[in-house]
Amino acid sequence: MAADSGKAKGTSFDRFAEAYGKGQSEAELLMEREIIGANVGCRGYTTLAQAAELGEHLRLRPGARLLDIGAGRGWPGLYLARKTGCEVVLTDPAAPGLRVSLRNADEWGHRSSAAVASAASLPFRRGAFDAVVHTDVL
Amino acid sequence: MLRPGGRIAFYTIHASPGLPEREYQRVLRVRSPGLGTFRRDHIDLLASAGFALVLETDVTAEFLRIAKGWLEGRERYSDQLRAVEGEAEFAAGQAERQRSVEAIAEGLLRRSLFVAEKGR
Repeated sequence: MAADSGKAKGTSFDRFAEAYGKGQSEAELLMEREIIGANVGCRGYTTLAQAAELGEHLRLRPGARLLDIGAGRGWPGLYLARKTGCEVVLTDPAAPGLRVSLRNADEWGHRSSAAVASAASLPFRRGAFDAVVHTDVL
Repeated sequence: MLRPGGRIAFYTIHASPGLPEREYQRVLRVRSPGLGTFRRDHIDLLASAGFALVLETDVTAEFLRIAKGWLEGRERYSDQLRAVEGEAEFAAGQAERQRSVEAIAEGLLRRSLFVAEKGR
């Protein structure tokens, strides 16, 4: 983890944090494949096709730096890095999901890093990224 | 954080415009990110941060399909999920998903894709 610049608190946050830190059950993996189109650590509404569309609009390429805000387990940032060869930085106020995402990134051989940070206070310098993505965070 | 000419792209869930107060309060009771916002809020926020809007697309039909997919999928695998989550958590989650599906189907909630470029 690169930084810790603020943690949200509250029931909803705790619930999300706990859920994203857990492994997925066989039933969850089956549902995710059926609904989202692949096993990518998604519990929300962004499908594989929609993630691919994000990548096209962001004009990602090898060497570009992408910031994924509210990344949870790394969806869709890790997928976009894998698909385009860009470098991704994942941020989320909850550490458990990011730990899962970094383990996945290691397994996939990705160049990625993560920061525990709220979207309201991100610890990056001006102009540090070529692209920013988030899905249903704001 | 974004360099000049860099792009931001995001999906977001927002309330439908022109909702009567009672319906807007219903939207706020559905637990989902961005609920209190309207489409216009995102456009204004992007403009005030120096972004030019490149694209805005409504993806509510797909949103409803996915929301129903999770609700029905969880029902289909309810035995396994109850064993993992416990009865109370499973029931609360399903009730929440049911409220979301109803709100989308009734036109209270929408989901959109926004793409914008940072000014040079």
